[in-house]
Amino acid sequence: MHDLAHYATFPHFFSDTLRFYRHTNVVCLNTLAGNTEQFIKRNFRVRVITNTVFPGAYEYDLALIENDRFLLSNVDLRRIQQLADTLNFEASQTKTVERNGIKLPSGLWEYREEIKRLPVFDRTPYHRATMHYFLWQLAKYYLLTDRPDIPGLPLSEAVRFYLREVKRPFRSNREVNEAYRRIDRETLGNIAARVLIVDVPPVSGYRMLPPFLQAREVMVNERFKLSDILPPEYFFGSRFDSENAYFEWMREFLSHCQHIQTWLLMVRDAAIRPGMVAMLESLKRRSRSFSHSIADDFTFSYLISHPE
Amino acid sequence: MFETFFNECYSKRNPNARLFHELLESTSRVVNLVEYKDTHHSDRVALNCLRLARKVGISDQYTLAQVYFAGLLHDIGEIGIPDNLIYKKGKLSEEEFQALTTHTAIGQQIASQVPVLSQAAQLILWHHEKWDGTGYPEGLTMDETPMLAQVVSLCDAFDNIRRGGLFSKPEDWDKELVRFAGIQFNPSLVRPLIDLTKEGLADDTERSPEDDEVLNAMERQRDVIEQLRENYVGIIVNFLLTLLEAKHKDSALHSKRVARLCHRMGQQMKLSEQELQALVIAGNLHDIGKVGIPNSILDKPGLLDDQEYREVQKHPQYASTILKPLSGFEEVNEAVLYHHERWDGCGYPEGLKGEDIPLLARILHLCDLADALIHLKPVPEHRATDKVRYVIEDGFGSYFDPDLSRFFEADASEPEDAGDSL
Repeated sequence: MHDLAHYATFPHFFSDTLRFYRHTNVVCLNTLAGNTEQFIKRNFRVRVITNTVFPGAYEYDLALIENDRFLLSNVDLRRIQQLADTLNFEASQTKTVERNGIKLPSGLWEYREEIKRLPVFDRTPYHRATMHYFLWQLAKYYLLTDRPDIPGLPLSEAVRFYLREVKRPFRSNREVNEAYRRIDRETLGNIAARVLIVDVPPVSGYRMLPPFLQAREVMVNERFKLSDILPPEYFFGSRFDSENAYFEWMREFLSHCQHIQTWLLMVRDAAIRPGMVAMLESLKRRSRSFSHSIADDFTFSYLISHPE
Repeated sequence: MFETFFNECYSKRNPNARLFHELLESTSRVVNLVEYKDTHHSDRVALNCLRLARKVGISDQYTLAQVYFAGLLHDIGEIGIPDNLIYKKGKLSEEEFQALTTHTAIGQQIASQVPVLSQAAQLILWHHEKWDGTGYPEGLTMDETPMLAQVVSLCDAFDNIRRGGLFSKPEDWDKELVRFAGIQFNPSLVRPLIDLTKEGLADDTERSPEDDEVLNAMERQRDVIEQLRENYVGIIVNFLLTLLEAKHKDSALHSKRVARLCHRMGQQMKLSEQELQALVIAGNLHDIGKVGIPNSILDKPGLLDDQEYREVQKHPQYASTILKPLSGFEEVNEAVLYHHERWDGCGYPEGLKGEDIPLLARILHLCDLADALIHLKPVPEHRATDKVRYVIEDGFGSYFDPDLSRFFEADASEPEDAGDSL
């Protein structure tokens, strides 16, 4: 698996490019929904349109990007807390159970089942997405504090803390943002946007997810399988047999976005950068490359491309 | 840029000047002025960062120095946030919180003016990222945030826990750290920090010899010193001007215009190249002391009351405090310190009179006032240069050195905002 830093995006570094645009539409195409769209929503007065392929990632976008109104009520919050108080466990004294590569306290799995039975879960897709986001926060917490020298919080306390976080998980930018899952080419071609942001995955595709992202998917669907979601040569993040096939697929896909003026492509793999530039040239676009050193062994790079 | 000045004041007069230490000391004084609550928060965070980084196995002196500087300057971006927001009690609105979060990016911008601190600048950007991904500005999760930035974040939070007022008890500090391990902090860093507190090493503001060694090593690093020597004065002027710009943009623009006016007047007076450059530097930095004055005073519409006026009068001394550690900046420091002294002895801070006031300070005083009159807000008719000329000419002999009258051109200060004067 790639180093975690190879999944990370550092949108601050291209924020100067986005500062030119106000009250316009920005399309983000990525496989692993994450911090980029949230950063843009928080910091720019633009309408954010996201697309991802994973169910968990889509729920994340729904809760944090598209949702601008639907909040958990005090009754919901109380019920969720009551449930945690009932199923409370001490993190250091509970046994852990592994499901789909994610090892969590057995009590948390039980809590997840109970939470999914609450009426709030079925109220609206936004409520469900917010609950999934909440469960993911809890899962991340117990996943990350699996260390003997730092005992984790009991469930009821962790829930109390994270309920404060999900009371209002999103930050409104007063725009009508949208989250898509597996956006089709026609819809993409019809979106009037000024900026397209693409998180370019490796040619070999994603073979496995880092644990914290795997946990997000497992919280939504316990039987989640990466290969089911991303068959070969299907979408960003799929495995491609050769660089040529990869660029050909991307060229065809991006040709539906030619009406979008500025493309910002995050290309972490330096080896494919020349191929990307050539592919952009074939689409009659000129591009410039930017790199920022993040750590000794990691540089964050992106291309900005405009029509010739 | 400012080569003659550097050659005369450093290469010839102070060839052994410890450039990195001068920069450090000056920066440290800026930080203490900006934190005008005198809490020494940044000093403590800097030392804790250095010690924690060492404890978790980082031994490279350059990296340790960067993390020290990141700790020292981590909140420098707060200079660009209104005081009423930083010290607001109670809950912040969404917009207020949003404004507050920009301090990390402002801090990064300021620190990146010093090329040898480029790594520290990035650590400053990320010092509010949380381990669970709910931090800002980028919302990085776990190891996506570089480890050194996690160190700065933890030490910053720890110092905030530690000085949590009357309700903060030492026996509770560890509990708070453990409570937020895995939420806000990297759990693997928490135990080493607790160990540091138990060893009594997490409450210092004074560097130990071991800490000093890290900074001394920087002084011996050839590439660092070469980078500094290349444009030392320019770096310092840029750094301080960016700081002033973040604090009070009008003052920074005014400073750049005054520097231009000083340059023209110095040329008319046929000052030596070194004096001329010193004058331009002083023009750029004469109001840097305003970083220690609250914005509520700097931006107050109308007249200041006595107490506020006394506070504003401290800015030359504050500026001098910042410039004092810079051994080659003696002349500049003098000009800046005395740039509000009047020819008739009624000025401040010391009430010097006539030729007791250094020449550069006299020129600076004249240019400062001329520019302030021309760009006075909100009275547009004062912009008329003949009116300014009248006011200024009336002041020769009382406010200003009468000998300077023949070199002064009121229309030399352009009414439009001057660009970069460097």
